[in-house]
Amino acid sequence: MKLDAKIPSGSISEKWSKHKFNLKLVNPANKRKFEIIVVGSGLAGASAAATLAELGYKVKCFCFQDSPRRAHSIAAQGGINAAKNYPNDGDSVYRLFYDTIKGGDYRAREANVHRLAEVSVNIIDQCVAQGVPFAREYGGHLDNRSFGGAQVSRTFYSRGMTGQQLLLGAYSALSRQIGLGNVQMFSRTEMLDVVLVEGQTRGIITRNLVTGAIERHAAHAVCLATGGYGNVFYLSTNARGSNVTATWRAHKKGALFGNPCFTQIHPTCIPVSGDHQSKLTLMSESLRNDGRVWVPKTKGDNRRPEDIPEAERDYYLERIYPSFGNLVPRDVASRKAKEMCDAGRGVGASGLAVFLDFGEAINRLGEKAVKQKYGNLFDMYQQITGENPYKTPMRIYPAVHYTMGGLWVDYNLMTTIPGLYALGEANFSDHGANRLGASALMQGLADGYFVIPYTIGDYLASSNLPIVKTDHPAFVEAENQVKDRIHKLLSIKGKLTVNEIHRQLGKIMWDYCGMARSAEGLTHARKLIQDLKQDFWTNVNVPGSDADLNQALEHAGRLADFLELGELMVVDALERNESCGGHFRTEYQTPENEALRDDDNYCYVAAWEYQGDNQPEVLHKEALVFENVKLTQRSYK
Amino acid sequence: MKLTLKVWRQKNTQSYGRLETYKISNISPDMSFLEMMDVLNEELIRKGEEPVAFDHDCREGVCGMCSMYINGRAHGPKSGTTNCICEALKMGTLS
Repeated sequence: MKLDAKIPSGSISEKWSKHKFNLKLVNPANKRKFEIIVVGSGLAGASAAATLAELGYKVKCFCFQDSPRRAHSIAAQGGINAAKNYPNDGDSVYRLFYDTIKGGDYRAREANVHRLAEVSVNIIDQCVAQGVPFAREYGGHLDNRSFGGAQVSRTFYSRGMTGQQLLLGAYSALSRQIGLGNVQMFSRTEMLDVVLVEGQTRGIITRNLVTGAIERHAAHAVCLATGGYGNVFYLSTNARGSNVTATWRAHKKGALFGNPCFTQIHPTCIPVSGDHQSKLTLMSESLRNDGRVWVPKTKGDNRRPEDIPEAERDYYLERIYPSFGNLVPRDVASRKAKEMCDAGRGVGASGLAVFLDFGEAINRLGEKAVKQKYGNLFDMYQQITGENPYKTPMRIYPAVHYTMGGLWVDYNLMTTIPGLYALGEANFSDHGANRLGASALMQGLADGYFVIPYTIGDYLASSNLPIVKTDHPAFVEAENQVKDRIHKLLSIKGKLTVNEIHRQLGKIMWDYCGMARSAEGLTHARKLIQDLKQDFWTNVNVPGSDADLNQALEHAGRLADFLELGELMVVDALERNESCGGHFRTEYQTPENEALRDDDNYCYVAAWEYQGDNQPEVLHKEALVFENVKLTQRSYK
Repeated sequence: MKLTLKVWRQKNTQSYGRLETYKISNISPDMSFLEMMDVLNEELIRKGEEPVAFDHDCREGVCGMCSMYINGRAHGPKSGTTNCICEALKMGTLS
């Protein structure tokens, strides 16, 4: 298979405009003849479904929650980047493009990232028009704050609940189209397979989570906007329902999976409190605008933080990275927190935490001003930990947060299967080996509002798409496979609960494929995952039946996919003999313990092709060509 | 902590429901109400019984998916928030 990213020719700043002109159009009267399926209703899914329906296509949208407005985009806190340069501090489309390429440690595609930076400015206008209540300055202009990996302020925000407000905007747009009858919404419905006819994507198989009914849906094209796969680690900041099933089933039907090992560990999360823990809660990166990260200078100093004098504190990010300070990118901040804790200087009962201290900001700005900016986050912290962050520093530790990897897509966001698209976190495209803060919301909305509405029309207008009904043999076959798998899961009736196995998988992934990875550890992990997969398929206990609501069955199906994905992540991490961004191989580091890339041998996207159950996947490489940005050792000093 | 839970169990809309009593121990005050329900469900599955179905998703009080009716009140004792069943039990979820 030859990977063709279909990157348009021309200079970087002209590619997207020229491409938009060259794309074939579907005339307004013909649009209503095309049916498009959108799976997922977060920022990428809701914005795509709403916009495609507004254009005149017939859209079906699916989500597993009770309402499309529950999608996990809602939990995004800190903000959304855009190159508006409102503060007049030197920002531009090119600088956002440059920061994103550098932040991703030079493992993203230039053309995609530049397009993202270009449309970022449109996103803000779109959202303001919808009534999204972005924070404003006294004079009425939209306010900006800083995020990691940038020396300008370009992050638009609504307190610490920006994702929620943006999602309500997209959800309103979607609801309007549902009301007009242009979008048919299926909630509490999970996609369990894609259906291919003559090599083209022509529909999906779903399960109604309340009645257990397996259903067939035909379409001319399918968009997967199903988010990331952080829950392969069991503990993550993702919602409990977030899963890889839709993209993994697509992968097994032929869509290549890009850079699966590129996962983001977010530096500032509330630390684990015990074995019962079911999820981890993020404390927004925006807090690093005013919060200062430190640990005691002396190992094992367990005095209360208030009792440790200034001279005995190590503000290690400010010390090591004077120009970016506390706002270094996430991968760097996470790794340094781990180094401090590994060296015995961690704080709290477990020793696996560092302080995030607002004392200085409260003295400088006053408690009221700090409350205005971060009030809801401080409340959330207090509710979960029982400690008051206005009085004592927060304790934070890195946690799995986002996955840069995902389905491989070309410039048009199409996967390697014709007619199957991947949007938002579900694709691999824009963040390289590390995503910058406040860029996930930007990418989700860019893909949904501003990219797919153009590119999908080109496919529909230029492809031969004969009528396919849901009684086609391909639908019957896909439905039978889905049913067989469900029956198999229910028939095992072993001794282990789904949750137990998921916890074990999570521990393997965290220990060997988390913040630090090594060839030895990864090889060991691969064996452990294979054994665990065997345990799962011979000894799992899934109670109940398939004929009604069965949450254990839902979880079991998702875990089965995570087990396969987990092995591929380990294989991918093992294959990439370099460190870059969030992928830190202990064998490859600079003398200052920073990630050491190998551009001669690994400047490519790893795209994996499924070969059948228990067969090793085949690696395809998309070479990354940098025509505008010079590859250098990333430095934030 | 040891707790006695009375949980409404109903197979589906065609069946009659009933309050079922469960006693659970080894509950940490750091657990959230939802995590306590996870512990109960693991026990039920091991005993060969059907776990309690309940909606939940973000588990940090933002998405609004969790819908438990606790001691006569939706989401528990605090009004105007979905957060109280996501927070630690020691914060007074049950009071």
